[in-house]
Amino acid sequence: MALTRKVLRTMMEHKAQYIGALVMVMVSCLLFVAMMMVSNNLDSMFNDFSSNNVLGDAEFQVERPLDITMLESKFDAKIEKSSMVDYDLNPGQTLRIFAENSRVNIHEVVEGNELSSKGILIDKLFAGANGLSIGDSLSIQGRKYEINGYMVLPNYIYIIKSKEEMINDPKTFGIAVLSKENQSTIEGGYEFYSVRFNNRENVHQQEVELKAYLLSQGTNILKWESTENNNKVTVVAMEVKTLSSMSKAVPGSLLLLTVILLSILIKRMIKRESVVVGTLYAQGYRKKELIMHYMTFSIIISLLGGIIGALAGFGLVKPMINFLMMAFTMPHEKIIYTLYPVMISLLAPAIFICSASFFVINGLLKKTPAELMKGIKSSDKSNLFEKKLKLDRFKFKTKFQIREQVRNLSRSGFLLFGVIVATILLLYGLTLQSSLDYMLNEGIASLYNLKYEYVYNELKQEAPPTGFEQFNAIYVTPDFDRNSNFAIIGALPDTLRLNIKNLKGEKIVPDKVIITNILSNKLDIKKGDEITVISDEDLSKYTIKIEEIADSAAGEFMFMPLDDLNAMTGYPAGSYIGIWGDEKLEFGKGEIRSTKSMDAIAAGIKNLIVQTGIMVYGLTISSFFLGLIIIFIVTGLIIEENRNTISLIKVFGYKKKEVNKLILDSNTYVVILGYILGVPILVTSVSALMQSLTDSMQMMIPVHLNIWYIVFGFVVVMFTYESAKFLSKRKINKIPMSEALKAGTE
Amino acid sequence: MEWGVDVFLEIISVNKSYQSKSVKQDVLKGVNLQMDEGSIGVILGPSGSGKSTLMNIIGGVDRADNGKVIVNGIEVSSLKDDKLTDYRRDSIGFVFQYYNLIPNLNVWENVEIVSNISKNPLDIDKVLAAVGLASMKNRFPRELSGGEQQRVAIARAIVKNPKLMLCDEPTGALDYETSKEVLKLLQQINKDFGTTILMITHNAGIAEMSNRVFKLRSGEIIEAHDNLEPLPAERIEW
Repeated sequence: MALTRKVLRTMMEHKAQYIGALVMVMVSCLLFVAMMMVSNNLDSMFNDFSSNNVLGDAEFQVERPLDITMLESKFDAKIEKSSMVDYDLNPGQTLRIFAENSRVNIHEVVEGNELSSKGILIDKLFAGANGLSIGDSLSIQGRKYEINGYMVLPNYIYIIKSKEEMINDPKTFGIAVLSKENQSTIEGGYEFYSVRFNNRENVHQQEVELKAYLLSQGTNILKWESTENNNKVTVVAMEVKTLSSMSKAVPGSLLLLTVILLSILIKRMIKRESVVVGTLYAQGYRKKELIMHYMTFSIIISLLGGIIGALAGFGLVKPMINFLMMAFTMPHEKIIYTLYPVMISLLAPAIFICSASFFVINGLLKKTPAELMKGIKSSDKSNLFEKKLKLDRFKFKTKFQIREQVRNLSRSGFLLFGVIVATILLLYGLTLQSSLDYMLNEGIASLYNLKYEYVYNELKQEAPPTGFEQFNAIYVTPDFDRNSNFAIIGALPDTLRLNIKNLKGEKIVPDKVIITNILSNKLDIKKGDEITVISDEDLSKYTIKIEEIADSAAGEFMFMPLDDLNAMTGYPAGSYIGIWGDEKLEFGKGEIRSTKSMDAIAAGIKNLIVQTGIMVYGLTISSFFLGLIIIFIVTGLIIEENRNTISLIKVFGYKKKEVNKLILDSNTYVVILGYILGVPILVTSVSALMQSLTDSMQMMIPVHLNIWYIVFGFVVVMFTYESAKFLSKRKINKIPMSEALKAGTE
Repeated sequence: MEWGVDVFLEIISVNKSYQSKSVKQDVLKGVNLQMDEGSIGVILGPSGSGKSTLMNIIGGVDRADNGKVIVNGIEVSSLKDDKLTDYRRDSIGFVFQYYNLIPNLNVWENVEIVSNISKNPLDIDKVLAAVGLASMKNRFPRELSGGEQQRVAIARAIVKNPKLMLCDEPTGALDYETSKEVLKLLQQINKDFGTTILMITHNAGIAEMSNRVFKLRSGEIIEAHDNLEPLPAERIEW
């Protein structure tokens, strides 16, 4: 009992350190449980939604009607013919209206009633953003439809008009479902097919086979969009992947920090108390009992932190899912609470922290009672390092501070690692913003010298409209990497619409085969290499020699002369699929497949940058507090270890400021080093994350960290450091001079 | 330097008591004391007699409840905290029983910690040579014997060329031979640098090497006398 009381008293005496450790375990478990459960729930919601509502594997347009029954039986699939139309409810406000499907991509009503013969279902986000309610009526081409309810579609989980927009804007775009009869009365739409294969293995291959079959039957495919490339759906997979990897990396780092911190604290405590430990040994206490006593600290911290963190994480699951559901439209009646993240959050800290503590305690308690009663000298181990340091040329203050860090390497390691983690957290959001900004300004805006890109539904051969320049494009998949997909753009060799630069920064023109450095890095191909690609459209194989690498952050592209592309693909000479120019053009019905406005793309990216702002603020504040806790704890450790020195230098006549500088500034080098190391580690890890998300995002964001963000991050880290120093000054001031006068240190 | 010329240290009716929750303990009761510049003084007294408290008050580490402490014309007892720090910084050299060296600084750096804040410090290498540690300047405290560590402490105290050196049981943790070596060194420093030295000890033998002896018991000076023929340190016995 007496020993148990001692545990609590020791913890109270060193509140900051133990509370800091507890907070880190708690936050670690909270994040792990919350992120893991949200990611599991999202995954499960998506799986249920896609199987219950028969999410299609692809949508495609063909020139002539298909024999659905025959194809379904031949390919063991469900195929449904559907149609859609973009209807402008108001200027600048589009409602994409689908015909009600019954076999593939089936809608689900999440609020209100099922579709009636005179009714319409709309998405809830659009309704909410535009003040529409169930029971209101919508006028479409002169006919009034009553809103029966709100629905979700499995192929429009993230409701965006096109992938260029990146961020949903329910004020200007929404989706709706009408009965097939009503939908067919609206002009301007087009028909397409949706397919879902019953065999869920090797879906990609089944898609390829279906496409090949259609082509072999002379069916011209106008457009083919695989769901695996559709970011209205894959964005969920991206979120699941991000949450899942974050749920391991961030809590894992915090847990590791706690393990190091508690190991340091326990080691110091045993050394400090070695005389008492030796005495207890001598009086008949067993090693097991003493190990148990010191283990109690770790057990309390890990269990208490684990339990509180897991409970808080539990509580956070619902609000987090509700928040995500503001962007992802899926049915989410019930939240699944799984036990294993909770078990891991309870067991992992206990296992890691307690085993690390056990090794430390067991090692120290191997000494005999007599040795322990003499007291364990600190700083014996770093002696070798200390001796090897040649510091003669430095000022005294610098020498003192370097020696202070070398004296306790585990403490310095803890601080270094802590600052790295805080730096990564701090700069994570800023890196995303900076990368998007870079992609926009250095990539898209600098590559394209145009305002609009129009892609026709079929190849053209006549002269393009005045002021416009023609191009051709095909989407291909590398033969050796079936998960990658990129566009080959055929442009005029003397194009005025593309600003391509080589790696030396010199302007080049597409009179040869050029690939962007992003693509070259991704596929690991160099100038002079040959690459074999498969056309997404007709599955033809082409082998192309890379002649130049372009320095562009715009994305993954290959450029070649228009005539060469036409010759390679067998398209008629002089034909083209799209045009580039600066004017907005009007086209006849069905003439245009897609319109790309550079302003809209820029606005989309800017919107995305604004959206990441919330995350940036959150991460900045979190990393500030994490940094503050870590630096405050380490400063506290330094002050405690140096109580006698502090007292002594006060006796010598050092002034308050001088004492503070000498002791508190000793961490400056480690903090700066931590920041310097944190930046490249962050860039590498964000690059790895981006790489892993490329498939889901359908674009590659080149990781780039603006120099001003690096400076900003540094200012925040130093501000955190100064704040921790400020909080620690009181501790130093409280150390009395009498301590040195009484002490017998060496 | 010739001692007995100017009064260097004067303590007039100094009282000091410590108040715990329910008990007030009078540690110094009307202490009066005088020492001349360049002299060696010894305060003798048993444990708990108040000698460390008296030394702390003289050194500007503690304050008297009342009375005056005048060192080299400065009324230490009336100094504000900042000035008291300046006083310790410029005028006082401390030597402790347990040396109080900083374990992660080597010998040279342990001396430098004081030279670093001194107005006119002596050359560290010369000071180390004077205390016989020139060849050990890169060693760490744990690599030195007790006597060597105390030499470092003495070097640290004299590097600022203080007017007054306060030594709290400087031989308390040392064996007989080493103690004599340290005392010889202190006497030598007194002679070479003219530093006034005040030692507190319970070892009556040390009094024989001093110019003035004070006996303290239960917070009061019960005896103060001059020693007109101080012995060289190597000849004193205990």
